[in-house]
Amino acid sequence: MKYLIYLLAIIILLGINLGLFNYLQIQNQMPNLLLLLTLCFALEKKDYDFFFIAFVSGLFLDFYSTGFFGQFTLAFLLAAFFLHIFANILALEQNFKTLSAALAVCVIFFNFFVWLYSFAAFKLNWTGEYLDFKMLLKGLAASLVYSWLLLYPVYLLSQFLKRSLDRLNQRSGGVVR
Amino acid sequence: MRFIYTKTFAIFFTCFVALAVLVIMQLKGWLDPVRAVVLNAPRPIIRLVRSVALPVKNFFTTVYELKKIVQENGRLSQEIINLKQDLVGFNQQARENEALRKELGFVKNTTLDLQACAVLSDNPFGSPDGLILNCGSDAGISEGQAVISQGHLTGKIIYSGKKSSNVLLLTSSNFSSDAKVSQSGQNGIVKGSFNSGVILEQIPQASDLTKGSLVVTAGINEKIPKNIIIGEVSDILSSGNDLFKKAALSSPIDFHNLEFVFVVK
Repeated sequence: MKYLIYLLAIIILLGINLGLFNYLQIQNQMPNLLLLLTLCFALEKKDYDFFFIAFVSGLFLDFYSTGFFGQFTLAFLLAAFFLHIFANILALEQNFKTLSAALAVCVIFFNFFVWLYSFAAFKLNWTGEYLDFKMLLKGLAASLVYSWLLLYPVYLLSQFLKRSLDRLNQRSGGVVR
Repeated sequence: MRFIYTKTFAIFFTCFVALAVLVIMQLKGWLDPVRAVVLNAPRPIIRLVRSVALPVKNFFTTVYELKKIVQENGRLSQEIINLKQDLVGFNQQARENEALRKELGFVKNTTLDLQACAVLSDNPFGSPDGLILNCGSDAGISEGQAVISQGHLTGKIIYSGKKSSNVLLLTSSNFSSDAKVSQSGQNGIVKGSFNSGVILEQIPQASDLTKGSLVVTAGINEKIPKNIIIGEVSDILSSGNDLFKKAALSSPIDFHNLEFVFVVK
């Protein structure tokens, strides 16, 4: 049930991302709502649901993208994984300042991993093209600002999901799978 | 506990292996059915969101475009005004150029001491038979001097200020000057005829005067040198019973569109 809810949230966010923000681009950049959702879950210290969210979100984006398969999934997994470790090591509290800083790190990591993966795939002759690093850098600022603007609504959504799951958990006697 | 034995790493590694398997499956083409499902899953949401977002986007795009169109319209209007202004300038220059070319042909072949003057205004103070020139006594202009254009008598100076002067046109009814028929040498008087033409008078009946005869200045008035062309006889106005012959003269000068003239010093 829990994973179904996550899946539904991912599909809804992806729909909003492609249906709405595709038309509201800033400097040809649209926000990555799935990355924001992954980020919000990755900062949870004793929760590993972010792996599922990162994996499924990455898969969805990989199926939608024309790049070499796996670049988004791996970038999502790596960004979420490192963020989760840093959050645990630094014992970060979840407030808007922490979230903003984590977002900046996450977006930079994510873009870097996507580029690295596509570049490696190109070098290994798995694909005929790879992402231009300069283009990624060029859109990074706009992407960061746009993601930052939408961070709070997605954070609220993640909190809503967690609360809903907690309620379901209580009702079902502590077992929501 | 070593890091690789942590739950976090274990899940990450599992995901990584799963991804590797999926990549291989994708390369083999086994994921195509899954791909179709995944691509179709968010479609209802996309359609729903798009149905709201698209009209909003179109509205704002139209508003934005309208602003641009209005701005462009303003810019083009201003450009038209500037171009019209340029056109006026070019037309003025073309007229001046043409007038100067005509004058140049005469100036090259004359021995007269000429002062070139630009016409500042015609019909000054509502008078239809006068001009104001941009040169005056500072340039050696004085009352009574002949004003010519394209080698033809155009008028005479009736007032000379320091920097400007007034011209009485040949066509003015107040204008009169001595003249002679070029072929016969018979003297007469030319007068303006109410702004409509020039009349040659006081030619004795006995003298020969035919249409096409050239009429020039006689040189009796010391300020108007002789042999400046006034015009040619276009019509004989007198009858055989009149004491003197009278004729209408035609001049090639367009008295109302003068740009430059010369004053004979």
